[in-house]
Amino acid sequence: MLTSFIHRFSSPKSFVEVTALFFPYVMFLGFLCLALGWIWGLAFAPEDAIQGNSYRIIFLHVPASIMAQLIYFFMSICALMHLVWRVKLAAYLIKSAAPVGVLITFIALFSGSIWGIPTWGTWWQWDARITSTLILFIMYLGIITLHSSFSNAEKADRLMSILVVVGVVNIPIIKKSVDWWSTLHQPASISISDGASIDPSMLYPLTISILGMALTMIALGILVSKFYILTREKNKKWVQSYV
Amino acid sequence: MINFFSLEAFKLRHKLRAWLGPLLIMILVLIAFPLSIDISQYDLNKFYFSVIVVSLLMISFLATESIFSEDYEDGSLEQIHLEEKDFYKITLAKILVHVFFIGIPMALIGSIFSFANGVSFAEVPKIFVILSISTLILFNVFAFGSALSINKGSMLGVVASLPLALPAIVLLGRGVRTVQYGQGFFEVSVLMAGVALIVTALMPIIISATLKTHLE
Amino acid sequence: MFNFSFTNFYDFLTMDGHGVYVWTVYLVTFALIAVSFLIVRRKLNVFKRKLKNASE
Repeated sequence: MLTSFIHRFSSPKSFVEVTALFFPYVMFLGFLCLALGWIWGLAFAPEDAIQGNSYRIIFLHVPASIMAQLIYFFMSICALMHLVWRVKLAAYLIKSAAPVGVLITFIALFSGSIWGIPTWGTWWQWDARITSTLILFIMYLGIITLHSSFSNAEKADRLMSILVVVGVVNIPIIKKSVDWWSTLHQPASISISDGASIDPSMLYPLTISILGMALTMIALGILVSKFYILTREKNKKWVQSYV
Repeated sequence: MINFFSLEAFKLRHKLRAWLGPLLIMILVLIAFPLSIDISQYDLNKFYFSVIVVSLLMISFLATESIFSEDYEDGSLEQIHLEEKDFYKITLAKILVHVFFIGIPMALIGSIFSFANGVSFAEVPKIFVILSISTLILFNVFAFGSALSINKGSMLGVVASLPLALPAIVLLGRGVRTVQYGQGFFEVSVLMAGVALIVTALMPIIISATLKTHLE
Repeated sequence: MFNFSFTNFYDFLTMDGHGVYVWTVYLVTFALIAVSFLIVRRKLNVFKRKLKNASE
């Protein structure tokens, strides 16, 4: 039953049809959670004792940073699926997720730079977390560039998957960089093992913002992948009848 | 395996521009930097290492730019693929031969220039060790980039592999700091050696898969 | 938990001098996400239209 489910869902046609059903709800829920989290964080969360009101960027910066890494992690799982089981949809999803990754990593870097001005007195520091996030941004661009360099789409898919799998080593480096090296960047406020070091009045809007950002990026990813799948499969009968 | 090494060594030894060129460029860059900036020797000593590290990075890329492209273009790679020879061994042999002929001399040049810029003579072997280990990591990473972009120009290879090389540079910078401050050199060099061994063991497998993708 | 953290709306906008940083970040992010959705949706509609015309 599981195998037939995987086979059914891993066809591009099924993916487009199934995601079309829940896309509006995901997008609506994402925007709602983002709006709720951001309004709560901007207007109702108390001022930080040390950073004042500039800390409110956290409700955008942290969700963006988390999504930047999660998207790459998702791409690496898809890359493994494509390389090992030759799932075509997995390659389409990597190609669709990469531009979303570029966007959200740029937002993470931009928001972090602006936050650094009142907090650290500088908009850039060559510390471990920031530099490795910049490397992640360049990796996303490299993946997109690599894929678009080859006219043979199947070859491009395979090479892109190889690059994504090799590049996944960067994710634990980003995640753990603030713990491994003494850096300017503050350590994680939320940890699975140690709980949160942040006050609940800030933790709740942060959690809602993280959820909202995740759903929004999933919605954007669904939209981009729908466009890309239809473009790649445009000569197939199901696309002709779908549009 | 020895046959592959001897063959690759023979090929590289007779391509003078392939191994001498990068070394000469490295020397030129290391000479050009102090000439281009009007600065006291004391200040130069403080950041000359970063020039050595960056030139190592650039020249490593340059040295591995055509590591596979010539064999791809003349059909040797396809021949190997059709004969079902082990790509892993050939790739490993190519990378190790390049490290031996180009990487180790690069590390030597870097050590000599570091001695000329403030490092004591006793510390030069330490610099040589960490630079040598770094060239092993960098040559593997850039060989992967070359394999990805085999007939698409070198820029694609750089874009693909440079983000993987930068963490290696961070580690090298840390190694250089341990020499400068005289603390923790053994720990960092062992870490670097471990990373280099893992990369050298795994990267030829990945490169083989990449080359087979190009040939299919 | 839901007390408005500022004395008035002007205070909310200026945020003790940090408002320019906070609002810049949020507005730019909102704009980027919104524009991304709109661009992809437009590309999708153009593609569907072209495909429909080609099949007719």
